[in-house]
Amino acid sequence: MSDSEHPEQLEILIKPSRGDKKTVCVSSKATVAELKDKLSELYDIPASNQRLIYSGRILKDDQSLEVYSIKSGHSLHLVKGGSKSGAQSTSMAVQEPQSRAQEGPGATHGVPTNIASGAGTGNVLSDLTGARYAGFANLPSASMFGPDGGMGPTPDIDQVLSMMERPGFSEAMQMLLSDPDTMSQMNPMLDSMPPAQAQQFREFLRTPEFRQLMSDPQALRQMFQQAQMLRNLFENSGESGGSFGGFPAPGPTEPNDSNANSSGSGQNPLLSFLGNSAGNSNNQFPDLSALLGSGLAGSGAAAAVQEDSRPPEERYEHQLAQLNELGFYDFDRNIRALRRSGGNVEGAIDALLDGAF
Amino acid sequence: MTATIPRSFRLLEELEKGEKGQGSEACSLGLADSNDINMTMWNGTMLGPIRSIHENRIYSLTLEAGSDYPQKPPKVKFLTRINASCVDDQGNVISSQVPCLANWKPEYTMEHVLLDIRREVGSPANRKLPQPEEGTLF
Repeated sequence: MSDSEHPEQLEILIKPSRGDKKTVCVSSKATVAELKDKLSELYDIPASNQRLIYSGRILKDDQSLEVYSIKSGHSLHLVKGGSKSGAQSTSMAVQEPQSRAQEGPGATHGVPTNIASGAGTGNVLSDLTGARYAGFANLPSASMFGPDGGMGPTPDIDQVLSMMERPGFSEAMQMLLSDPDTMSQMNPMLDSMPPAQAQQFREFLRTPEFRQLMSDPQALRQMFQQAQMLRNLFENSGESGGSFGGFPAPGPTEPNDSNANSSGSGQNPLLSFLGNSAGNSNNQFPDLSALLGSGLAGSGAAAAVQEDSRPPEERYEHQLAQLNELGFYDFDRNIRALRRSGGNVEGAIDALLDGAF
Repeated sequence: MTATIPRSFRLLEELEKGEKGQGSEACSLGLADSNDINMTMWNGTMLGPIRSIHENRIYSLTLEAGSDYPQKPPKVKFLTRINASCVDDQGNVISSQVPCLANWKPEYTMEHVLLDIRREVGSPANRKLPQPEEGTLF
């Protein structure tokens, strides 16, 4: 291609998967290995971990650049191979907590099993709204979420239910519910309970019946309908409705005998739950409604309560700085990606790399 | 209604985009043989979708833009071994399993195809499938 007598000086743009684009000058006679050596100084990636891609090909170390007919102004993708970039993503992608073992065979198949392992933003459910799942068929469509990854005030029940009826959701929900840590994170009320009760409550949450209930769209539909009925009832009779008005913050939780109900007499927990709440007696089940609310709404319910009114550049200041460091300079794009991912930087990066915006 | 863009214009455009790396950073595309004036055989790479078993892997593929491209979709084949529902045991991408191939439109580019395959490979059904040893070929 190039004149073999006079090696050309090539100006090649290097596009790393993370970090700044840089232009390097190399001779067209240089081998790929030599280029990698050069790049190892620029990018702090050992040459042996570098993968260079040009025009749909992975460049081989012993070849010279002219073999690939790379020209000035062309760009190479630099991908870090071999070792992992972040310990967190490793564990998320590969690890399956042992507690999953109790799930039936195939229960977790095709479901993001890392759902319960928590992402950086502190809300175990934030993954649900993350851009990293954008396009995954069994997750709610973007239209369900408002800006900033939260949902609108209260998700429409039918919407929620139709989301739940999608394949995979009930498994994901089951898994989520089977993890006691998730539960306590989702519901800080648990922490404020006397330990003995909290324990009991947790145990109740972990019973297969309860999980079944929470992840069965049919049962939930029923529950919603009954709640709706009760609410109408309260409204009609002029009562405040206490714990049912759109599932607000849970009422006081005092110890009483109805605990016995909770840890399971084996009856339909739904009925006892509704019964107790209808009576508005002191019991711990209002927690359930809050739980249900926040559980279903993902991070949305919590987010919706305290809507963040700060402008995005302020709210995502930290994340934006990170994205900038990684070489994403387009402010608008970054904001959009961050909003879509609910402020999760990794999610935003995925979206940006996928060119979804 | 709209005039159809001649095949060669389209492919030259895609070639330039590939060489300059203007497309998505997750995929790369180029002519298999830069002397091929028909621009039929292409190489593609795709980075394994993040947060899947494919993360940090690079997959090589070939794309064949036939004489009726872009009216007809390219034929796509994996060179790197991969276990995914949209790839048969020869490495051929099964068109019906990839949305943009199944419902091909002439506006689609080979980059679309690569990104769509990548999305498919990272889908819940595929993202955790056991994979052959890294770098082995079909």
